[in-house]
Amino acid sequence: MVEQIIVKSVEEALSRLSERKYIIYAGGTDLIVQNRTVSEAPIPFKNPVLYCANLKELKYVKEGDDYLYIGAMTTLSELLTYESVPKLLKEAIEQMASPAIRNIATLAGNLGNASPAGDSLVPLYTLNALIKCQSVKASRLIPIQDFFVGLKKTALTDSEMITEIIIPKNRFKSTMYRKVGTRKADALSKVSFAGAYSIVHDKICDFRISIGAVNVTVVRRFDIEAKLIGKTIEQAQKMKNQIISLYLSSIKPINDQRSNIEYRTQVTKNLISAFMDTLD
Amino acid sequence: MKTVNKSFPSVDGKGIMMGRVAFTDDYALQNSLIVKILRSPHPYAKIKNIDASKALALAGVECVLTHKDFPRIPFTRAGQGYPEPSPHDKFILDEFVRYIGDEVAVVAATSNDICEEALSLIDVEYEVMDPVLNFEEAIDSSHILHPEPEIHEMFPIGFEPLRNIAASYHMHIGDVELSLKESDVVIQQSFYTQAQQHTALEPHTVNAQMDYQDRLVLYSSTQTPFHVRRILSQTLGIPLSKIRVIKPRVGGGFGGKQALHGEMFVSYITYKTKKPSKIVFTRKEVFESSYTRHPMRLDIKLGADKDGTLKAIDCYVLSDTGAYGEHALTVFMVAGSKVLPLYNKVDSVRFHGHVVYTNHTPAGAFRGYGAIQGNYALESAVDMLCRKLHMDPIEFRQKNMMKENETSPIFAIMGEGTEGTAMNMESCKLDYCVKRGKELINWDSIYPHKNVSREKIRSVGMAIAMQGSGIPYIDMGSAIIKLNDDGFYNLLIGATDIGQGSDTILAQIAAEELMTSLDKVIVYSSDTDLTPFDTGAYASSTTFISGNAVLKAAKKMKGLLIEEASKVLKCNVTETDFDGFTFKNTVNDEIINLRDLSNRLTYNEDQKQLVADSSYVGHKSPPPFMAGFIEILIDRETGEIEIENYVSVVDCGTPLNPKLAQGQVEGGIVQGLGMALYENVIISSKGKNITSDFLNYKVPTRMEIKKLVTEFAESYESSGPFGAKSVGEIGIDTPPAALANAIENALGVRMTELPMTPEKIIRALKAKEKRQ
Ligand SMILES: Cc1cc2nc3c(=O)[nH]c(=O)nc-3n(C[C@H](O)[C@H](O)[C@H](O)COP(=O)(O)OP(=O)(O)OC[C@H]3O[C@@H](n4cnc5c(N)ncnc54)[C@H](O)[C@@H]3O)c2cc1C
Repeated sequence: MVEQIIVKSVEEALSRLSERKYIIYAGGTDLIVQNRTVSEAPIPFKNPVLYCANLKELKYVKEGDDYLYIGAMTTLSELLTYESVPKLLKEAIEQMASPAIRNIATLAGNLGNASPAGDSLVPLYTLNALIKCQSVKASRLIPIQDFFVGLKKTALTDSEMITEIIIPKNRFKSTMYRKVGTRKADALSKVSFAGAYSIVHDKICDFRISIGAVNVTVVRRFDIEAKLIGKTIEQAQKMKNQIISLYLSSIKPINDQRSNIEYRTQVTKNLISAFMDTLD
Repeated sequence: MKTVNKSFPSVDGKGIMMGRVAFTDDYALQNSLIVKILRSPHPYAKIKNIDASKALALAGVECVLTHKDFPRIPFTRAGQGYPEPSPHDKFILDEFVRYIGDEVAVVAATSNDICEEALSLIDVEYEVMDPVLNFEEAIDSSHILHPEPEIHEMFPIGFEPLRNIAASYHMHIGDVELSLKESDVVIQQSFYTQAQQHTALEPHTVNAQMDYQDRLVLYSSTQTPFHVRRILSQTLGIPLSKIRVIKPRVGGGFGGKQALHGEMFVSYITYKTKKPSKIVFTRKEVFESSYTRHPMRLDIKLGADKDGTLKAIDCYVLSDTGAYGEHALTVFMVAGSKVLPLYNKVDSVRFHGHVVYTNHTPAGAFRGYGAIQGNYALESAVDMLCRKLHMDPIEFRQKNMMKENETSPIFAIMGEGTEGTAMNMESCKLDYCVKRGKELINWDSIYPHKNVSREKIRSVGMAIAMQGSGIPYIDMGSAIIKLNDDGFYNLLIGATDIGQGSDTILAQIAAEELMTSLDKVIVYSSDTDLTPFDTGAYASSTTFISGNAVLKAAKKMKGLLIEEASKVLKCNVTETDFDGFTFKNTVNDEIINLRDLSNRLTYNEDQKQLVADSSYVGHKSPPPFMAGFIEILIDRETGEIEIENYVSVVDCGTPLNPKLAQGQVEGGIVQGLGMALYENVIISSKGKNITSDFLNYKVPTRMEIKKLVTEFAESYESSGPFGAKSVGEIGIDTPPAALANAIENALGVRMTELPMTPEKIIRALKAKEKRQ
């Protein structure tokens, strides 16, 4: 059996991480599933485990003037109780897993797991979230789109852990979140979508779309969004087909037992179209 | 009525919830050997050699069994009456494996871990063969699943193993081709239904021990304890008198536990080693290596006149029984016999088809038992026909469907594997069910659909259904009632409570007839040593068959009591009144109460034990009927469906326990919706089940259905106990067709393949757009 350590402080966690490779264990809802066996034997982790779920220091939601700060060990259920947590993120969390799972699972775990179907990632992309990665030596603030570097790959090094998720305070005119799954509870996404926009003097001044489960990482295209900035709603809606085809060129959905390419493509199209129809 | 038609809580519910010792594995002895099965990684292979020496050398391993340890006796695990309508095409272990998950070898060891390790140490040399994975290509394929000469049918079922045909059948009434030619409007469509999993929460579980009389005692999570005893004796050569099978509380069956799965192995091991042993299937084994529902292709043709008179039904069915032919013929036949009589006014009907072997997990009994597949096809086709006729689908059904006191010639022709039994519908409130359901779902204000928002559409759809109540002249149930001092009774029944509540309603029947309260009837069921025979919990038979046996026994007991009381009261039996508690001499008003009478019979005077017994075989199988109505919200952008409401109006005769009956109906509705919406066994191109856990095989959760409305029609079936018919299966039949009809009413696309996933809906919408 591998070494399993219940850390008492962030400091201890970081110093252990500086010594060797550990598996960081938060809610364990991904880790247990990924490492389960059929027999009743202990979970056969491949590396020593740092059990961090009860680090009180990392269980918080704090509001600053411009940012919201979420401690890495705050559970999904706890996040739902804070008024300050943005609606887009709450809508995503409400549809993740089921109550029992949400009572122990964390946002950091969803990020650390780096699944293309990770549901919180999609609103966090749209919200321009920053991921705080800390090691004994330093702390880095990584914009979410740079945190994910490939299929199930993050920018995190072995000596770092996520300690905080930072969300800029945004005031959107309107947002739209959609998760398309097989059933209402305990079902991973076939496609998910988080859109947001703002309008000043009848012109679009902010336009964001993130799409999940249609590529190895969440699709967010700043270049496409830029084309709509400064446009009136009427102008934007005229560009709808062009915008949709630009997005379609950056998705790469797959066939799996949950869904297929044809469906994921069509639904992506329909959701972008539906979101653009809501502009007003 | 005092006790029946009342919603008593089930007699075992509270104890189970408090965690009392109740289920099969609770009764396993602490020192039981753990039994595990080595399973085939190939869909089809010949075992060339098994080297178990390394496993046997492991400390704690008791034995490793292979096909060489068992006599070569073909049998069927189906768990049916004898002779079975299923072919004897299975050996306890064989030198061929025919699906991924089939049994290769069996290990018994002192712990789980040792067992697992031993499994990994067994070296098996396989000669891998080409499998048959597409059931539409199975007949006359060059790859034959069952070339072995010993296998056979028990009576003619159209068994042609060398053509990969497990069973086949043909029947017709009138000239279908001619009727179709003469019809003004004809529709033709093929429908596909998928493999569904039972997903009972308690996995297949059985344990064995030798008792102090050197008899084999089994605790088994089974639906058929008496069949289990018989089949064990037939296959292992253990005398029937040396076997006792006890069925404790069971955590769900749905047909999956009608068959035998681990029973042969633990029995063999315990009988041979004299040590207790047990097996508990892993969830993966339940998924891969127990049973599924038979996948089918149903080719339907309907013909009608312009005025909406249905004239002809033509139905060919191809059914996939997987590696073994368990329930092959009977499930297939029920797809016709418990569906086609719904439209009894047609000129001609034809029903025929084949049940084929493939290298899939075997299919077996499953709630609905073919009727859900047949219902989906027929009730979908009826709506398609109505569309072509420009006729309201409810009006069409009201015109063409079965009514009270009518019959169908199909009843006499089609039974379960054999000829059927003619009968009139003495109770059939289908008319009321349709009318009431239409009101409850608000049909007129929604049909065919209402646009709710840019992407959401609200629509309704419906279907009608029937089932049976036991198998006439085959299914037998029996009961013994024993009077105790103090004036309470024991009710001993072979009937098998698997969570559906049969112990409760059978006790209610006895209490009603004996005019006593429910707590005075102590039920004990399903123990081959202590209770009388019963075929088991299947074919919607318990309420009707076992219930009639209980009622007859209770009547007898009442007669015995009055006889004894009249002796005490010194009058004729006709002069003795009994109200359940007190006997009265109506001539002189002298009384004696039941308690005093039973104490007297036990201890004081004219001592004797009063016991009454009876048994019952049905002479008909009165069908329950229902109308199912669904209201959905469908998202045309994503193809997602939300179930807003499901209305069931059911004619099951007298609901003996309305709460339990409602539970049966609604459980069936949700399980049927699972099949309609997304439950699906997905098999890879290599023949592997890739949905063998609850993360990948989705069943509906509590969140899925917003509202279920269930009502019972006022109905009385004179042949049933206190007017009751069955209610265990009928609920599952309507959801697939009702949903398919609602989808067409919303979007104008016809879903002809289950499950009706958003992927298929979006694809159909795209195809429709292209056509326009
Ligand atoms: C039944 C079920 C349903 C589910 N449904 C959904 C769903 O609908 N949507 C969805 O997105 N997910 C779903 N999941 C997946 C899972 O619950 C989420 O991904 C969850 O957010 C993971 O959080 P956790 O705290 O349990 O992570 P853990 O399992 O503890 O960790 C996950 C990964 O993140 C790493 N990690 C954790 N914390 C840190 C940290 N602070 N710093 C660095 N790395 C870290 C771990 O090392 C591990 O690699 C489901 C899981 C189950 C079992």
